[in-house]
Amino acid sequence: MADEDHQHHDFTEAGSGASATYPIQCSALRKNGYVLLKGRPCKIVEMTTSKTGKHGHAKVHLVGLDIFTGKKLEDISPSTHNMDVPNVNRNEYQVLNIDDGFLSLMTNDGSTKDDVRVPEGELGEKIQSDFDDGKELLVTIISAMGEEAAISYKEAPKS
Amino acid sequence: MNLPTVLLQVEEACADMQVPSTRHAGEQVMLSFKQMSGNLEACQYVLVSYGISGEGFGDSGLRILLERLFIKSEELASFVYAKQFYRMMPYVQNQILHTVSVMIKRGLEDYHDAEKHSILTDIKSTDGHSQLVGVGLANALVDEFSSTKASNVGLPWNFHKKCKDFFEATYLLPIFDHVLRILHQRLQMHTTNGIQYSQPYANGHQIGVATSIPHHDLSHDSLLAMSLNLAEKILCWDFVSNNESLLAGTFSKDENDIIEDELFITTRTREFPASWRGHMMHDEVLRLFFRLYKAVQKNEQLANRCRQCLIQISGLHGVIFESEQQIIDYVVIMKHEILELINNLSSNITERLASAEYGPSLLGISQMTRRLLCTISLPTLCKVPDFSNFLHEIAQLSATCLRESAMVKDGYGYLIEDSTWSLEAFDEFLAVWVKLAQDAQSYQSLHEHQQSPSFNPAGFIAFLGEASYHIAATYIDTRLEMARCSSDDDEEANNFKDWVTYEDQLISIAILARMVGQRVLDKLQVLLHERAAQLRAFFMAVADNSAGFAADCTIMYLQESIHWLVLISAFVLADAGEGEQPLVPDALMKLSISQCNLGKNHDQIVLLVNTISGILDLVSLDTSAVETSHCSPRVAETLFWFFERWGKTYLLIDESDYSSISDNVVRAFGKPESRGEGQHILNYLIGKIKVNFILWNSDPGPLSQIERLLNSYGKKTSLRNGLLKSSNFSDLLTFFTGNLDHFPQIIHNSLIQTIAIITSGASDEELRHHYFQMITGAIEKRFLAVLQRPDFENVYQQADVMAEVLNALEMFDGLALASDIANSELICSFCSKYFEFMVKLLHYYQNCPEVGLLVLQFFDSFVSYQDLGSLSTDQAKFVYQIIANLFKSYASVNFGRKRLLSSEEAEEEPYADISIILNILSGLMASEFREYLYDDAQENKTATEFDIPSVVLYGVDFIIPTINTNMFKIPKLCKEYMRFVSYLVEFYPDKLEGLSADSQRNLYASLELLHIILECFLFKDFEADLLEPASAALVALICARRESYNTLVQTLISQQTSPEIQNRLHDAFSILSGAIPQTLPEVIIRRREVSGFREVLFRFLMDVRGFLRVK
Repeated sequence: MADEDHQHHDFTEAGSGASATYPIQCSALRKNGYVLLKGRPCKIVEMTTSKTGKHGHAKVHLVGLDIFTGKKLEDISPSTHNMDVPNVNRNEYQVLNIDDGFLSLMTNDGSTKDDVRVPEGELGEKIQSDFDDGKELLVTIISAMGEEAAISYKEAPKS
Repeated sequence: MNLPTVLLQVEEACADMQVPSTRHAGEQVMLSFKQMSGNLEACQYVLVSYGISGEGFGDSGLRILLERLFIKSEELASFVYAKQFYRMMPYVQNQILHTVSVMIKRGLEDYHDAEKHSILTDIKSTDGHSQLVGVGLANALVDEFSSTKASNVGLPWNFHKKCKDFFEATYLLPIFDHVLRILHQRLQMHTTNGIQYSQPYANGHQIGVATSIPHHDLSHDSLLAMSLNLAEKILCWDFVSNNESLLAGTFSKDENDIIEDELFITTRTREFPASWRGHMMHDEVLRLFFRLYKAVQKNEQLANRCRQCLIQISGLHGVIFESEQQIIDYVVIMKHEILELINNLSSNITERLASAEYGPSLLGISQMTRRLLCTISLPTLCKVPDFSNFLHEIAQLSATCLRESAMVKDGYGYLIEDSTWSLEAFDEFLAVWVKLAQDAQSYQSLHEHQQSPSFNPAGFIAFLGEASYHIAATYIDTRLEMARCSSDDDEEANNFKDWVTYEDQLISIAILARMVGQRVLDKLQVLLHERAAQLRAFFMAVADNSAGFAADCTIMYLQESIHWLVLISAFVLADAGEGEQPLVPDALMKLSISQCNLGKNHDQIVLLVNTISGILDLVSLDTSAVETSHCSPRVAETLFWFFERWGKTYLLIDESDYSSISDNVVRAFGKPESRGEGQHILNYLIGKIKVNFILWNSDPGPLSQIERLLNSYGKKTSLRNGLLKSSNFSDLLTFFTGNLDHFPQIIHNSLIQTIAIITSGASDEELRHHYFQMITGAIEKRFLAVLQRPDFENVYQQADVMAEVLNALEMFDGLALASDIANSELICSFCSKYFEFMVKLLHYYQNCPEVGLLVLQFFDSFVSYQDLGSLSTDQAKFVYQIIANLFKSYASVNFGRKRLLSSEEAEEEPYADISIILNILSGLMASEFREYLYDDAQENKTATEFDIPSVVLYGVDFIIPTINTNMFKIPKLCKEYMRFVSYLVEFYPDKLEGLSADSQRNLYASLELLHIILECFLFKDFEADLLEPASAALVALICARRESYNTLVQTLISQQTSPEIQNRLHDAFSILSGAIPQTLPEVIIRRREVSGFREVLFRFLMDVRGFLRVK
């Protein structure tokens, strides 16, 4: 269990002091969990076991989606080998502004964070149009291995 | 009338009719043509011109033409017998004959007797061209009047049935006689040398152009081909008398979908009525087909048709026989003819396998044999002279088939492409042997009890033993031979285990093997012992790293052959015993009793089991051993599968299950109280389980099998208590709970479920608490170790921390899955301590949907498996309150969120959360219904703030708005939603008004179901098995929506065109409606009375489907 000193991390910025990856035996990976495939952090969408020949040892076939690009990646590995699991953090921030393709977000300590892009495609368009409509939005930012991206959002609950 | 001009006009009109915009104009032209005087001549002219050129109309055009031009079938019928018909293209001829047969069927009710008679006279014409047309028309008629090939003519089922009855009673037998006569003639012509006959003969495929061709050129004899085809159809006729039990209005499946029917045909042939006796039970008739078969052998198509006829006549049974002597005479002929077919198979194996006819004719022989020997009773068969000689030949051929099925290369080293014929033929023969063995044994026990003194099968059994050993031994050898050929390169073709894929075959072999148990066990023992020694030597060589230890292919062969020998041993020693306690097979128990004087260490059963344990010892290695890389997960899996199957029967055997029991079996495997060593074997197995769990910790195959073994043992009281008494069982539990995260996720929940079931089922109260606390303690410790970390808020998203949380949730889920009546209280009080934690987890992990899913999953299992009715009021209230909170939290955290990867894109389980929530709601409703079953008095239970209805309705209000039509494209989700809706309507019809407007609108849209169910019942193909669930749904829906039901009924009645049918339907619906309960709230209580409604519904359907269903 990782027991490094976590200094001043607060609730929303959880775990950023942990190592970037964590090794685990391939067979113990789980579907819907994360794994590094070809060096990219991926969400596992398919995990099947196969054998070479009747008496061969198990191999695991993994299909993952790159958590930042959505690209499909695959790998096959002996079930006893170790694979790297990325430490993935998902945190929610309030959207303060959208400026030149970047989100301006409010962190828990009250400062702003302006380095995450508005996602491309439909999700980004919806964020933009909902924001333009004056809605108060909360976006979830996923971060792993030094990269960050917005993956979902919702309207802030009306209090 | 200018005929060529008419032709041109008709052609244009036909073309017009195929285009929507000009259809009307085209039809007008055709109509005016139809009304012209003297149009018959013109019709024929048009048809002939088209028929000869084959151009101008196309298929649909031709149909339109025929239907529009000829009003009466006799006009068309007389046309087909006219000279011009023979000049037409064959497919035009067939199309015309087909149309004639449809017209005859449609007009049948209006015919006078003379007309009906003249159809038959025309068919039976022996004169030249007419004979061919007659047979062609008969073919078309048999199809059209049959239940499988009738065309859709838009008439009710009653009409089709009446036609079929009439045809069967009037035409079928005369047509059969006629076709036999033709076949006989053709046979004589083909077998008489040098005679060129002047009969009308086919040129190519065309009926009726007489040319002289050499007599041996069978492929051009279309009269023979058509007659054989006709004979086959008649022999396969589905006689009405056998089919009375069918639901009225059930049309037979169409020809594209008769796989099931074909399966039916392979095991049992049609039963002919007694009136056919004089026509079928004739030496000449039976021999005719065999002689024909010989004559047409070289022609693949004709031979195949003829073979199908032979298979049909090999299975004659029932009223067609008048006396036993007649059956014996019949068997004598068939046996003689089949033997001759066997002798005609080439004796040269290379030649055999190279020949294209060999496979089909071998399979044909096996199918004939199976029908002959499986339909006629054993005492009768034993009276047939020389019967054992026949069986001897069959036994030899069975073994030959087996050996050939294992051949991949022929004598010259060429690959044999298709040895599946032989294997298929072997399966047919195997069915014969099993039937004979089982019959002989049951007659023997009857004879022993003096119930059938006249027939003593002792002699037959002795003979059968020889044949059985021959086949069982050849089977074992063949499997070993196949093991030698299998290579390590090929991926496993499917995910089915061999004991599933070959189950039927192995069960059959086991039945034969037990007849000669001593010899077969001996053979298995010797072979396994030999291989165990080879494996040991191989491992030693690997461990010593001595140079040149055997190559990979050797170890491959060793493993594969051990796998098969263990597999066969398991089937021979024990039955699967699904749902009941399997007993030691009689024959083996007798064998073991006979060996009691040798002592248990020389008992064959004990020896074989010891040898297999020895192999388990050998392959249960420490992970550090170098040999492990040569261990096979498949062999490990098979060994534990063996001990699962074998253990259920033999381990801690209960003497009171047997009238006589072998001392050896009791001593070797029995309970300690009986001085048996069964408990030692259990201890031994527990030890091996742990070693193999470590060795295969990354391979779900062996691990799942071990888990299944524990599960099976856990279900049997004696084995469960035996496990709990074992000194090393608690060590195994600690090992499981402490290392769960190292095993593949797929076994997490089920492993915890299994050990929780075993431990909570302990008969001893103290033991139960001790073990149960061990498991819950371990779960608790792991769960709290993460949750109570002071830095949890900082590290909760770290991969390792999250993995721990997920593991703990899976353990809780496993525990919830283990709930049963005995441990409900125990499991509920433990889990409920952590309910609030779990709801909190939802908030913590609101950005990590995978945690939320597992929390939902846990509650789903909890609701489905807990007996909520047995909880105390406070406990129940707490559970409902928590579930309401769960829904609330889940909704606040998740709904309204828009995602980059939407749930629809999730590959395997889209909308998993919605699906689980629907399940929880359905589970809650079902649990309340279960309470009613136990105790009707609970109906006056007072509603509290947190009772099931309030939680359910709360859930309904938040789940229904999230449902959209896209979700219904996913079958699983759609099914779950339908179940949920029908429960809702059935259990809480009175509460629906309280729902929000949105929910109500959505819900009522889903109630269109009522309409669909009614339509299905009345007009669609309908499986009788579905009647029960469908009637339950129907009664609930009618109760809930009585008004729309009434409207539907009125609509259905008014849609009928004939007043007579309207009246019948009206009356039928009145009776049906009378059977529907009047008041809603009573429905739940009266549910048990729904069977009454079902009967009324069944009578209703029998009544109306006959005239409503149309084909």
